[in-house]
Amino acid sequence: MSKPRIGIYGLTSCAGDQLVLLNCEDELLDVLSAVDLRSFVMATSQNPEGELDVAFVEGAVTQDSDLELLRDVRTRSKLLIAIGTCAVWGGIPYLSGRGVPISQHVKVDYSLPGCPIEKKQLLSALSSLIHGDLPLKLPYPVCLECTIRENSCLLQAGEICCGPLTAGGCGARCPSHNRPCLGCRGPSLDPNYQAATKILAKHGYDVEDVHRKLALFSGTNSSKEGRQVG
Amino acid sequence: MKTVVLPRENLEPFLGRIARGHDLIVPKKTGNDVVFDYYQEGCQIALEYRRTLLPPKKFFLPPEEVLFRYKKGQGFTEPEPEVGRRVFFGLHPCDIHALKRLDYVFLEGYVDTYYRRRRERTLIIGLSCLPDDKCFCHSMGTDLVSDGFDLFFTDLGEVYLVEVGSTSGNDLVLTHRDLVSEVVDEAILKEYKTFISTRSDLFVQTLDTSGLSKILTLEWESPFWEKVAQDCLACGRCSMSCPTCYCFSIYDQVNLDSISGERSRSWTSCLYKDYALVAGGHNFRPSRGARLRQRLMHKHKDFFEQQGVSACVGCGRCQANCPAGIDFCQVLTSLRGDISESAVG
Amino acid sequence: MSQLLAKTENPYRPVRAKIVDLRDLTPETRLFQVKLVDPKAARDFDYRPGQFCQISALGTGEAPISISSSPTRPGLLEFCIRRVGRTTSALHRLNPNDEVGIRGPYGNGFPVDYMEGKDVLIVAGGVGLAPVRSLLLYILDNRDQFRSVTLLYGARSLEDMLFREELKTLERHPDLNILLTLDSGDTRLWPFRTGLVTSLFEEITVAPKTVAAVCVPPVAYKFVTKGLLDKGISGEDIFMSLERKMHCGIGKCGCCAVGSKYCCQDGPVFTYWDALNLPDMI
Repeated sequence: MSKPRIGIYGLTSCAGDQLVLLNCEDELLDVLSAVDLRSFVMATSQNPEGELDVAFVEGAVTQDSDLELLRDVRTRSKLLIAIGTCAVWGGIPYLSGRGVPISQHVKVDYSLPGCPIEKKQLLSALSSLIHGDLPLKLPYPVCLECTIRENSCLLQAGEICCGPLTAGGCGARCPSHNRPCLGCRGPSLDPNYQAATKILAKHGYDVEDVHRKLALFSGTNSSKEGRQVG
Repeated sequence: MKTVVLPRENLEPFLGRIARGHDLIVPKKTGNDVVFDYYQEGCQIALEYRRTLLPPKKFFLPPEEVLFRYKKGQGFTEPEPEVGRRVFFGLHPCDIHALKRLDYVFLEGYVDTYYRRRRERTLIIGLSCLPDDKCFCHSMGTDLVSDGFDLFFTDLGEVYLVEVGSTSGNDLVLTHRDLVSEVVDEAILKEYKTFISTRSDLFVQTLDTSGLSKILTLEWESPFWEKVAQDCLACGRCSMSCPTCYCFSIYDQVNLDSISGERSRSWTSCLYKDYALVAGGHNFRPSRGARLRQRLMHKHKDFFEQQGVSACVGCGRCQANCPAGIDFCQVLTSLRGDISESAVG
Repeated sequence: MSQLLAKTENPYRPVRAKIVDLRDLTPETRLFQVKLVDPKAARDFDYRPGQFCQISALGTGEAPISISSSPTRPGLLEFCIRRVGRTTSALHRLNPNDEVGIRGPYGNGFPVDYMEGKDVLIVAGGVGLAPVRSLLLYILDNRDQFRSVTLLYGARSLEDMLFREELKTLERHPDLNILLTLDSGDTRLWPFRTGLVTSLFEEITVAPKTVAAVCVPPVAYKFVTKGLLDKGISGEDIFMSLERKMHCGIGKCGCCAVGSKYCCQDGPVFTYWDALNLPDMI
């Protein structure tokens, strides 16, 4: 089996997702020996580019140069993987009204959300891709891992916790430190915004305020569903 | 059944001694919550807890476990099984009933070897409890338990009345006979009777289970399911915290070398959208209402039809832990027509 | 609790099997011929038509796949695997001599003993031919045990039809009545019929003691069973092989629940009567 040719690219973003890969110190050598790295501008100046098996793209599309790069990468890649919530949902750049998720412009084969992405999931995804598989999709919201950690429910305690609306996989990082989930991983498979809004309204929150919080990271998804309630 | 008496002040020494020869699991206080966890010297055992968030199942069917590791051309290696005896202290009657229900699933037909190994190495010591406003075990017939434990402790204030449920339980009592008394006198019997009747008066929540499975069958098409589901976050907290929810998914994780990896399983919930989605793209339960209905149907109808008992043991965890405050007893009661459906949610 | 049950093997652990041959049946469906690596296991492996195995592409996952071969032809096991998801795609990347993991056989299968002495009507659509092919071959190898045998098989187009060559040969078999149809597509070269599989019902007469074995896509069961009931077949004699999401295959993981039944253990073959009693089944 020949090594998959891989490219890693950043559009408008903080580069935090690419940094997660660089931070895989114990595994980085194994990764590099299992792939043919053709482009990773953040890590190396040797970037032969060319045809790719898998391209990882971080960041939202906010400007012409983003779109140009994205389209070029898509043409050259068999698979394109969106990494990080900005690439997957628009994330923080979406709030500016100019950033959109990359799926609005090109076909995305797999999405790995997170702000930043989780190291464990990145390595798992890389292993699957090297093996020739698309990575597994996680069907559960943050609440699964939160409950398994036996955290007290912050939503029940009257906090604006986005856990039930947010894609799991982070090990419920924030609720495990007694901080409500901000929803940084973007929407789960089946977010029920109406139900969450109703619960928070019962706790006395202003509905508009709730919508703003719930929409912080959910980008394109929030305008479709989150604001329907009123 | 053999019964002995353990003076209250002897409980800590009793457990402390057990902890020397076994892995002892106890209800432990952490902040405002109580969780089942391994005993450590000096840890605070919650003797009068109401309910833990996660039920005992986590020690028999862990949230996530590796089934085997593989290397291409070399077959499969199971993880080294945990060894040594465990003593699980402090299960309430509902949780003991729940374990017996899980036994039906995992020990009948094909035997789940992972579950069986953990079950076989664990002695169960039950502990009496008092209900809060979410408990409805008396409605499910699980408020008392007559088997499925090695020892059962009923808290009578000054003493615990200890029922001995197995030879292993008897061995524990005999090993620590200096801490127990074999004399169960009239006064203790009287206190036990008072405890039973006082406790049964304390229940607030009830569920009329007569003909419930039949009523659910007839209410299959009810629009009420979708209505309740409008409030359901499908977060899965009810499934995770349910002592008899046992659904799991199995998945592989390959290593970076592409030739080795592992197969694992982890808890899942029938409330998740992909639960009945097959590879061709057909979803057998496409709506949230259909998924919520599945959960309640399985508890109160399907399992009942399979095993002759409901899968619900009335522990109250699902309604105590639902962020949306869905009261499942009320949902079922309104399906019976005993309260208005608009009163729910 | 200390003494529970006798020790048994770990039911989650697959056995190793080697791919002997691969053959493309349609653009998405490939026939896998496999042989268990352990000669004793290969010898002892017995099954009923309609049962399935969990097949592993290690590192990717496991998928429930019907057995397409017949127990009357031991040695090799055959599976028609359609490339529809991660695991089946990974299986399609394998070559002869590669290994897969196998668990099974699981499920109830078709009640072949009950079908003996009766007329048998087999109805299949698309990849649904896979499990009933096992039944068809089984009947052919025990032909004198059964009365008339009819196969109605429909596919979307000629290239979606499984076992085309085999069916053409079987079509000439004097003891079999095979009616084939295509939904649409270029049928100029097609010597058979066009239309949905249910349209074939008009062309057959059904003897009083007929049992039906059905495997069609999930959405088609309602129409097919209605057609069979209209033909006078009793609901108890309509046997359907159903598809559900499955993880464990052994009645533990809960994923394939249909009412109080598990598709993996109580099924995958259910009668129309079961379907009447278990909402959501078809």
